[in-house]
Amino acid sequence: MVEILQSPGTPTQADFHEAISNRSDRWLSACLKITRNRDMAEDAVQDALLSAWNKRHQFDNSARLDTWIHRIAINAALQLLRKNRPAAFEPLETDIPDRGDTQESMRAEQELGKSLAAALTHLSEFERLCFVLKHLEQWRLKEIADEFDSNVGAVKQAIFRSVRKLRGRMTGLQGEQA
Amino acid sequence: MNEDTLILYYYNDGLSDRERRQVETAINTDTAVSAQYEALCRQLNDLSETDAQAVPSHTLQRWHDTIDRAAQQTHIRQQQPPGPFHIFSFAWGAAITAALAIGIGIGVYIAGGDTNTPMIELANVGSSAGNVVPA
Repeated sequence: MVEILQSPGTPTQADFHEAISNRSDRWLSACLKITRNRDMAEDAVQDALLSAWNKRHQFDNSARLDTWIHRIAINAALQLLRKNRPAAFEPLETDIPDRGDTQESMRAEQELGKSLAAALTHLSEFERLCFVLKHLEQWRLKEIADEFDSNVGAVKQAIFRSVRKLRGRMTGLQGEQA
Repeated sequence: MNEDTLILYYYNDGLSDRERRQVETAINTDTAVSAQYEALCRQLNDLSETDAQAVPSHTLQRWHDTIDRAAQQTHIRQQQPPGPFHIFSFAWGAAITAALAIGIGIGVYIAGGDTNTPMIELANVGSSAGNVVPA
């Protein structure tokens, strides 16, 4: 390991390795829920690590390094998704009903496994992103709206629809498992 | 109660203080609303599973390597001596600064010409004041 001159409080190379060993599975899962594509999710984590390393002097020592990288990874995943699937960022004017088990959702389920990740495949892209950022990542509604160049009202509606659909799906899955 | 309002209450986001207080009162006083909110919380909590995807070992290694490479580059940058003095860069910089200074000087002179106090008069006042001999 190389010796690097740095100010006290700045995360070290060893800190980064420790965070990768302990928390990278969480980063990958979160990015996967955003991108629904494993390669893109892995790239997002890699981009985030590099970006976090280059900005490590900006790290607020009162926070946790892995949480900080997590947030950067989410942003990286959103950035990659915006580049590859810009349509995902367009809120829909009307509600789209659950399309049931499509070929695409079945393939995604195989990739993501059952339960919540699987249920998420039945949402529209915008609903899924709003739900993941609000419910799993605890972003504020305003932050989400800003991310999508949308408004809080549209984000709220997307979240209400997601919750309704997911509750139905999850109840169904739990019924199947029982 | 409208379930959308309860969802926003659960997230502690998107409701005004007054709306939050109203929901709080309803939950505390109305058993039906209380039961409705409890059921909603249960279901939303169920949607919070934190299933972690296993990272393949080669991917994990790639991420560790990314940090090692980045650290190596940082180390190399820190080891490099400061760059040599570039006479051409310095000459260009000096020329641009001089041109800028002349430009500003001309601009100030032209702008000064529009005022009611000619520059020449100011110069005369300054020089005569300096030559006053005390009585």
